[in-house]
Amino acid sequence: MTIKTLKVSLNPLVLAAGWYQEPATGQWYYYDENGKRYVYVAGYLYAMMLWEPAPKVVNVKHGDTLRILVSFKYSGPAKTGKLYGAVGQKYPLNVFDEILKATSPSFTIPESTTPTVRTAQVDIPITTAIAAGKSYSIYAKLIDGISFKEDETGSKALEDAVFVVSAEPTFSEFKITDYKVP
Amino acid sequence: MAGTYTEIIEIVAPDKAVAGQVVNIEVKIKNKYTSPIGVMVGGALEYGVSPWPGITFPANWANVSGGATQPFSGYFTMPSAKVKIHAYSYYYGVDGLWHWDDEKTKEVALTELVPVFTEFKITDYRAV
Repeated sequence: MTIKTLKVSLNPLVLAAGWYQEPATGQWYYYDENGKRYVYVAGYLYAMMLWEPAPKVVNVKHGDTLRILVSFKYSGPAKTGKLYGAVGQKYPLNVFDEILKATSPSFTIPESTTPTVRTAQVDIPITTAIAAGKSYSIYAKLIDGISFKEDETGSKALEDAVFVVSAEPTFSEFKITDYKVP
Repeated sequence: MAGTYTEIIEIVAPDKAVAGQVVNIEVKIKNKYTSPIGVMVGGALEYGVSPWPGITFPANWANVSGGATQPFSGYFTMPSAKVKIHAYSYYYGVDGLWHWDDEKTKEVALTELVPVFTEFKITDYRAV
């Protein structure tokens, strides 16, 4: 195994495939041939994501469905694919912990000789696997024989894009606002 | 080998193209004469069995000054096979007829489409 010393910040540099170790912390990272980064923790490799603040917060409740819509440009032969979407949390080292996930039905991306905009969507059922009163992040990617690369075949993780509201009646801030002789 | 009054200097075309792609080309023809003459271009795609399909030149003739080179733009649709562009030049004679004068060829190879994805982004998300 060839070891390379990590000298600069990981994000957003693209490095050659291989293992890297951050000298300050001793943390190991792995870059694959597509530039995808992984962090090595306790014998496992966890995929690291690029993150950005979500443009909006969508309130959902248990029993709802979250629909994620995407667009991308494609040129090449006709190809089948599926859209995968996930709702989860941000872990240290930019790892996306997927809690809810779903895959769209297979669809065909038509052949085109020039980059052409295509769209797709995936529906994710909101279940009690995620807690009410908390915010969660989302991301989506193309799968089914399509490797993941942020901004090309998948999105960055949108932090705190979804807030799970409680379905139970909630009362708060009760107070006497006035009292007088009518 | 150049013609008597015209010479095809160059065929500008890509080295390879994808099947179904519209391929734009340019044929540069020089008037070898000392005075202006009418010059016309023609072309065909050599592949498969003759008769070969033609190449479209929207403006296929011009009066060219003596010694000048005239570019003629044309296009064709790439078939599912490599092709040889066969260009021809003609001069307008005193007899009022067009005379074939020079020819030149250039090959265009067939290339396969490769999947390329870019600009993936989440455009919206909502509860439904």
